[in-house]
Amino acid sequence: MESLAQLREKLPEFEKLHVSLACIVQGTATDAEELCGPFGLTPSCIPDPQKESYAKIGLDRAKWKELLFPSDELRQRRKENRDAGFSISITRSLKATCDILLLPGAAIVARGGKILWLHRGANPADLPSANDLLEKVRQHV
Amino acid sequence: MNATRITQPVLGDPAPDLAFKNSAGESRHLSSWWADGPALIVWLRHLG
Repeated sequence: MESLAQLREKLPEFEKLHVSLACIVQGTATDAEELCGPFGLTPSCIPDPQKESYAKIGLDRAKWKELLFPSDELRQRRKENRDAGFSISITRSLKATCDILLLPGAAIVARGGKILWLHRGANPADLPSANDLLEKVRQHV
Repeated sequence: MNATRITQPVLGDPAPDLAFKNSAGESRHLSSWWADGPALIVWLRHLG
């Protein structure tokens, strides 16, 4: 959620660089709209209820202990989310299409489809901030 | 043992495509995001 808010804020800068933004969510089209609509990101949100693209790009799953006994990094990320007014929705997290252990990732893809940069999250907090993603885009595009 | 080997893409490989239907019920492909220019793809962690 906080990632979506950050990405929404940076959207004009991605557009200035002529970079399209796609946010893949673990849910149906309705789930994606519910999640992304409040941020005005519905056109950028892509539903992947079978988590097909997560598997194809090679994203791993966290261990339960990483969620139950969070690292300082994850604790800090959760605190930032809370401070920014975002909270975890248990209802949404328990949906059949949602795998709470599946790790995040990001990629920059060139026109035509070649992967220019790829980040596979190593732990649940391991998704670069929107600022860092923007910097990566500037370096690779 | 009959293990399945999954080949993960690396830099320079083609990005995996994904066919999906949007909330309007229209069929789309993730590859349309990079058809006319570069794209940033973010895989979000969960629906929290």
